[in-house]
Amino acid sequence: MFYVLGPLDVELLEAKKEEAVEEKQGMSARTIETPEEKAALAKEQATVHFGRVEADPVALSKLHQDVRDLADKMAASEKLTEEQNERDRRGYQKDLENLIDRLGGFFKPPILSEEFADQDVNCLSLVKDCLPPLSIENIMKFADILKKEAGCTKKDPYFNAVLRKFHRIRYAK
Amino acid sequence: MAEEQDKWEEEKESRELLDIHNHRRASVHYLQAAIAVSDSQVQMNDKQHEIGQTNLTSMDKLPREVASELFQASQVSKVVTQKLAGFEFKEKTAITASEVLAYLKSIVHENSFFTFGQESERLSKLITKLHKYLKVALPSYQAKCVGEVGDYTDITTKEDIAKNEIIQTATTVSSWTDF
Repeated sequence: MFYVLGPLDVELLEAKKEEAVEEKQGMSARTIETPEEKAALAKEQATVHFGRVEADPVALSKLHQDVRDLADKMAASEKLTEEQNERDRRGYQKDLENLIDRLGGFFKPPILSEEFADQDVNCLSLVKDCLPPLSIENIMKFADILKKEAGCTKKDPYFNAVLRKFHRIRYAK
Repeated sequence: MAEEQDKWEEEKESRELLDIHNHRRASVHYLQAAIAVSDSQVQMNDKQHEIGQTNLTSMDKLPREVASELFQASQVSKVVTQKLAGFEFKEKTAITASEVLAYLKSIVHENSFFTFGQESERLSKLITKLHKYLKVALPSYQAKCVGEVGDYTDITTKEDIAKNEIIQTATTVSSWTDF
């Protein structure tokens, strides 16, 4: 996949991050304090990323199918009662996280020997603070990104942020 | 002398900056153009049955060779089917949008077998003619299969770099490609 990722929508994601920090009271979140760190972060957030990632066609097709299946399951679940839907959505949230983790797997460098085993990356923890909210619309956006026949142009702060993080796995030292 | 050298260095730097910015803008432009074209192709392949339901608004500019080939095909069908028991052949009197779309699809496939030679050139021209015709005469084709691909223009001054963003905030442009 060839991709170009526009600058990060900082305001929206910062708001979400603050909410998450408030929820995790007692846990110490690392904050960026020095002006150099702030400047470096602002520069990274404003940078347009260009990149290319390869994926096994079968794995890509399976991932695309699973994403579409999740959207179908969610649509079916919405016809159920509120409690049942709420129960199902907890499972779907995990499914979405799992699917995003699989997308991140395409960006990982191959681990060819035990020597490099410690360089494995936990993709999900990288994007935990910018995961898209669970909704059919967002799942369909995800499916569009994975659609192989035609590319896509999407303006979405969450998927943009997720892909920017994955991009850094591959390209940033 | 030193001042001139400094000025030259400055100009060189700004020229390089401009070149890099233009290359980046061009890559986004052409990637978006590729996406628009493949989207049209997908629409044509997947939604042909829906596009063909709309009537052609005019037959004037339909390439003559296409019209005659479609009528000839009807006559061939007559020869093949007239001896079948219980089959009543109806003379062809008009050309429908579905037929033109099916014809276009068939020559696009045919043209992909050999990408060289006189026949390929003829088919390429015919595809272009049909595309132009359908763009005007079939509103559903115009709506679904005509991806907008504008011309790319470089920016020429360093001051324009700040005004021309490469891509909008939070936008992702991507396309999977086989190698």
